[in-house]
Amino acid sequence: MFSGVYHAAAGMRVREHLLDLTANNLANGAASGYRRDIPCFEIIVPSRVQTAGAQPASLPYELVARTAVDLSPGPIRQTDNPLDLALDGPGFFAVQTPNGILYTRAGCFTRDANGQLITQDGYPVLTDKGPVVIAGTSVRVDENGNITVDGTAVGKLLIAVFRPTAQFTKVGAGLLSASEQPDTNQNAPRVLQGFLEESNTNVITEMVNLIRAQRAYEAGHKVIQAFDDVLQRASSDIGRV
Amino acid sequence: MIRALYTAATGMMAQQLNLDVVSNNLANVNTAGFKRSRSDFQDLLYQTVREAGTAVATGAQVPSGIQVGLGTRAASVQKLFTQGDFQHTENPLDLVIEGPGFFTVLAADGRPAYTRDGSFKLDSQGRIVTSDGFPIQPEIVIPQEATSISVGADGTVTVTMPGQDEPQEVGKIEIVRFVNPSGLAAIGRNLFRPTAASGEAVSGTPGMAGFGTIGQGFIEMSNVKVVEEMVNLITAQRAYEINSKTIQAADEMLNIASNLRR
Repeated sequence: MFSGVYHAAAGMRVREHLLDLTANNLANGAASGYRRDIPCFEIIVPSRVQTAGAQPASLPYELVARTAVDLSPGPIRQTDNPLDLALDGPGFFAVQTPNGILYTRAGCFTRDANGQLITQDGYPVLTDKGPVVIAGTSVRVDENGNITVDGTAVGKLLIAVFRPTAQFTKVGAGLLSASEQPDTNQNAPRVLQGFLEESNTNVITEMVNLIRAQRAYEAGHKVIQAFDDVLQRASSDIGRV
Repeated sequence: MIRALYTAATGMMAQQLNLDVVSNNLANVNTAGFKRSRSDFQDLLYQTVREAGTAVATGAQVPSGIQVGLGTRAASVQKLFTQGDFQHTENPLDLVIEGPGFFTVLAADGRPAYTRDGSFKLDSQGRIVTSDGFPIQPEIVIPQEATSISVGADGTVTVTMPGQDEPQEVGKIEIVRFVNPSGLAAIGRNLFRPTAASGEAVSGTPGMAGFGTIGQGFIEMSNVKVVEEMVNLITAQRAYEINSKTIQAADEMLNIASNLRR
């Protein structure tokens, strides 16, 4: 009868998604190295959805087309902990997991009982020589990622830099998987020892998104109510003398 | 939408933990040998609403899918073993380790425990003990008539006896180190116990490669930096507040949805 009522419902659904994404970005405001999700709302117009001769779908507008990972840098904070590493520029630390090599910006590393450099979840951090043991007392990491333990060079951190075309999927626990292999021709960022990169969630952007989601939801509600009013009139008033 | 409620709740719980850690650090700002803790957070699972590369209608593909994250969680609360400041006390039994290492003491349960707190005392038998009376290992007994005690940088304990010019060695303080001190379990009373993550204790003489040296007449203060903790306190409180706003927004939106039917 009225396709507009479905448009309004689709709009409300989209704002629920926006709220979910905003909630996650805000909840991860304290997760070091967290990359925020950007909600991208793409409208796929009916002419593209509807094939010739077919019935129009009940929700002709396809919204919330995708989420993208915002790779812009987060603020870098000094911690003085020798196993806190931050990357000053685009790139990722490479981590060996049971599901293959994954990438992270969260440089709050630690060691296991054998002295191997690992993430907080116990996955080895990769260097040019694979996982590395840093069982000494003084651990130095220079700007190029060369690790020196008690004066002995043990390896160079594997810093993965990707072409701008690479797409990232989040695995959770600060890890991302990439759609393509790292590009070795790109310049590697500086490695900062004793620093941590914080989440790149911007509170103001997220609060604005929160308001946007809520108000647009409210507006959708009003539209549906308006349709409801019209329908009510149609069913009760028309035909009354 | 209910998703957003729980997501924001994980954010609030994370900040509660953050606050707990910060308050313990601040409470121990004057505890000798205390090492501050830091909570690290990471993102939780992701729900993939639509896979990247899914075909939409006429052969077009979505370049990247829809991933909705489900919040945050604490990855670890780790102790940071940076050196604390030294305070000069002139008390001969106040010892510090300059550099890495721990004193070994025999805890109440008869097993060794490890500490950076070197404010030692003597018990009635003349043994060097912690403030809780746990004797340092290997045991060192100071003769009752000793007039002065001195501890060398390598841990050698010598005493001067009345009527003797030559100081007399009564023992040697050994220190231990761990491959991964952050993996140690804090058991209270400034003591640590090894875990599977810390590795076994490796004992050695102070001053050996990889071990610190002993300083006498000093106390190692807590390595808590008040300004840093205060900033952490502020960020924890604000982040808590912001996550509560998300819950409010989700609540109000649920209210709107429920009012669709009049």
